[in-house]
Amino acid sequence: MASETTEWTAHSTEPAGVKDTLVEFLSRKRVLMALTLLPALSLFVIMIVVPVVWTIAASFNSISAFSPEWTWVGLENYRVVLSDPQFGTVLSRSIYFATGSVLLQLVLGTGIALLINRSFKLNSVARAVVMLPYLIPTAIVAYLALWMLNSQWGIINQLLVQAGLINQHIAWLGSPELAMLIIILVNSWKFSIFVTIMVLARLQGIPTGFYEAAQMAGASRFQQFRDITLPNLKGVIFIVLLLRGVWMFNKFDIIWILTGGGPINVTTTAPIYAYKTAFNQYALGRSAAISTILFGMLSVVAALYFYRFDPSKEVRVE
Amino acid sequence: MSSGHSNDDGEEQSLFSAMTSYQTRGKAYTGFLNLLTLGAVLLIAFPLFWMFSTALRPDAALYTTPSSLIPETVSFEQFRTLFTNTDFPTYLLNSIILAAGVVGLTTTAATLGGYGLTRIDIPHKKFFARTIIFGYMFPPILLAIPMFIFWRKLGMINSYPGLILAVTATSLPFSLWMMWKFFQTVPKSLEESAMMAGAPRFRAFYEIALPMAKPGMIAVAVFSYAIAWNAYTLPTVLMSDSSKWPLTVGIQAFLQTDAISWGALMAANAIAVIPSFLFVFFLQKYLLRGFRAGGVK
Amino acid sequence: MSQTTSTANSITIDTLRKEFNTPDGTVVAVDSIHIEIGPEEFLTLVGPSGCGKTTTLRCLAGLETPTSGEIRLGNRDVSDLPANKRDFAMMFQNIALYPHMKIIDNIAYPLKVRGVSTQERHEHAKEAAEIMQITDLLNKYPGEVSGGQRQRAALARTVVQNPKAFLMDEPLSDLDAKLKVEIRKEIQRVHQRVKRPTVYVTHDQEEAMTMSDRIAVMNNGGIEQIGTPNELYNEPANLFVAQFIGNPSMNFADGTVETVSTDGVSVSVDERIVDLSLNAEADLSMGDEVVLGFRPETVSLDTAGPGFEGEITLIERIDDRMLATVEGDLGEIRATVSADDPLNVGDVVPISFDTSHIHVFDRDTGEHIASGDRPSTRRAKRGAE
Repeated sequence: MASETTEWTAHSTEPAGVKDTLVEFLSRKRVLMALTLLPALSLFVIMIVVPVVWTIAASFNSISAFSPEWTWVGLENYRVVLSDPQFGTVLSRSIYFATGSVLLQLVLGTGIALLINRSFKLNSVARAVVMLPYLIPTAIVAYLALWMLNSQWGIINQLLVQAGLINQHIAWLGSPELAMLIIILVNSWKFSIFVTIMVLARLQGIPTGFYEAAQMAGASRFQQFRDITLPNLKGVIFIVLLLRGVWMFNKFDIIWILTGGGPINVTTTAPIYAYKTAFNQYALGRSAAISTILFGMLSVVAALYFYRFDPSKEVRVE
Repeated sequence: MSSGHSNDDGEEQSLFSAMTSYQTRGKAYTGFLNLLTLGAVLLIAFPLFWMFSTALRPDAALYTTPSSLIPETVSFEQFRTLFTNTDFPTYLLNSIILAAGVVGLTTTAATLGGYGLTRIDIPHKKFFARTIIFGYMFPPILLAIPMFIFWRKLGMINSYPGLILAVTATSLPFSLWMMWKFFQTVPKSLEESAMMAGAPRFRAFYEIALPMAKPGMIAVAVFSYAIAWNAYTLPTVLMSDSSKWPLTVGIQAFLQTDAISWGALMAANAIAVIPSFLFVFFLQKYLLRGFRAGGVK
Repeated sequence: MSQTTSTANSITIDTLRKEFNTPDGTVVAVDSIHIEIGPEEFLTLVGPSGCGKTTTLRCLAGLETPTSGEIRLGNRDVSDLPANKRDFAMMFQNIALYPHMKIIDNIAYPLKVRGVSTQERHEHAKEAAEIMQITDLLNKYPGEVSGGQRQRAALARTVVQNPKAFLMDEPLSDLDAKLKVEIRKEIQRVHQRVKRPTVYVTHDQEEAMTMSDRIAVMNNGGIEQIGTPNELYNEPANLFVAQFIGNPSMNFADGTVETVSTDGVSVSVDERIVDLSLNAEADLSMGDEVVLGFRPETVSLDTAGPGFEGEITLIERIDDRMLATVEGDLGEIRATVSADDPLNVGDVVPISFDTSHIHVFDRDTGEHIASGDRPSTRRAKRGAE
């Protein structure tokens, strides 16, 4: 038995090579800390913190899009932006767009989640199809919508005429009355699925025992929905309202591609306004001021979010 | 209704009819829901169908009303035009470079960072958690204008490394969050056991923790790919040189210059969409695990 | 590394202290404890959850840095050595087999780290697997084998490492009762074969009692008592050890010392007098408040003793015996009696206990003051006279 133990001790240990020395070095607490945290931290600082601080600084200067010269103007940019009657209109359009989009997405997204969470034939096919729009780049969704909504050749006009719902082709995105509504619809075609995915995850997290217990207690289908499903979705719905609200308020790409803010500015929301100020009016300083105001609003929403939902709880921070 | 010998026929009758009506009502209800589901699926699928249907017909069949839903003759003419007569190949290549850069950078930084945040004792983790989520909330347009102002100062406008860094800023916060949460599902004792067996900490990290984190890394890679492939706002603002545009921006130029037909445009769309479908199809099982651990999105 | 002898392989935990910083302030997990573990000793740290036993083990392993104190291997201070340089093997509560490696590679991992060639390390792994009777599982992944087999593989992995010491952190707590006994035997077999200091952590006193050479009972970060299983059972140092060791656990009754004489001590319990003959020159005086402790095996429910009685509220059958719970003059008392006894729930029975097996504790400090004068100890004392 003793020989057996000695045999086990016999494994030859190689002398430490360069690789071993390197591994030892990387294993030191401070080195490992730097190695793991510095890349993400520096990206964060360089790509988010610095530009934001830079922009806040820029908002007190007059800057042209053509020359990098900064001229200190103090609060002048803010005065101009806040006294521009268009700015208020632009904000209210953003709010209209965000509210409409979020509510529509919430209803459609939750509805689809509830529908495909049932068991039925071809359930997996339905699930797969429903997820597809989320995988398509937003710009591509917009190009596809432009084609389908085309006033001359668009399939939507053709189908509606054939169905007898309209008499002649409509320029959907060219109509000041319809443009915003259409953008909201197109936008929701893609982004309702975001809500579906979140709600679905939550729905599947509800133990079936809850429903079985309710059935045993004699609860009807509606009562089960009201007393079990809905309360369980509350948290998700709050997150959706807030996150989607923030993103939709600041949505740029889909609106910019579909209408460019037109016709006659009816779809010029806050981010479009900021963009146009920067790159159509070449007033970067003023655009920076608009951006700064938007940061402020974002921070308020973030504070609200953190008040309800402490992210550090999810990552078990000591 | 176990005893079928009730004397009171009437009561039995009414009970029975109540039951059937409940059943038919249940059936009608299910049928209604199935119909709704079908409607939703059609509403979602039709635009995609129309995209492929347009892309696969020759120019001559594009501008006819009423259009046939299914192309009468399937033709790859549009794809040929796209690759031979336009800058599409350049845009495609640019998109691939952008995606590769962003995926590489994001996955590396998020994996390392997620490990560090999970395993290394550092102060202010609560602050980091909030900062990451706040960064996640930042919409691209609110980063694009600041970056333009800053990038111009650094002379990084129209530079690909600059664009890759910029897009990474939008993909990193959530990726970091996912990896932070993912590493917490990897038992610490696995690494500790490796250390007890004689492995230095870094070796325990790359030999034990890293392979365990693979589903999370794949989810992050696909997520950051989607962000990069999606990117429109940042390249629009940061890249003025048309030879450096990715697909999303390049296709818009086709529109504005009327350079190509709608058919070719839809062919371009189709090509832009297909890789995402394939990724998700083949990596589904990893994605579910990775995203489940990541929460939020 | 030859067959090292005696002290070179002993382990000393010298006034070890470990504090943790929490948002609510500093928590002392381990409070200046001192333990020496002999070169071939199997020592168990046992105690309720949160008593500091696992923290002690992790400090020993190098996975936690002690706030103060030293860990010595032989005469060498290893406190500052990182875990990977100490060459201790550890078994974890959750087994900690690497899910992405086959069993054979899991077992061989300690050798891989040491740079042993694949062929050689697989040979060693096979040898170890043979001892653990898991040779047919070598090419499977941990997810494909049963809980008991995983434990065997984890044990094989520690054996292959041929470490200076074995550390085990509740390795059996997730197993069912039958497997527990099986793997327990394997661990003991390995210990007898390799003869290395082994520190075993558990909250299960039965595990501690059956496996250990010595046991350290921990509570609130400190050690209540260190001793052999027999010592802990027969001579518990205080109330905590007395109630923690032994299953079913010891009965307690409050009493007050009435008279102290050369013949013995009489204690009043619930207005009745119990006469005790104690072994030591017990430091007791009139009016002392004490706690009497007596194990369920020493309780009898058919002989009239000092006049205690109670009603049987619960009878549990354990193998060939019955555990009766009696509610009465002494509070809740548990008695182990023969299964043949004609007892029923609801019976009112007399309660008496064998005073020669009694323990007397100080009610304030909980310290053990004296034990009943057993025939064996009495004889020894007479001999000494």
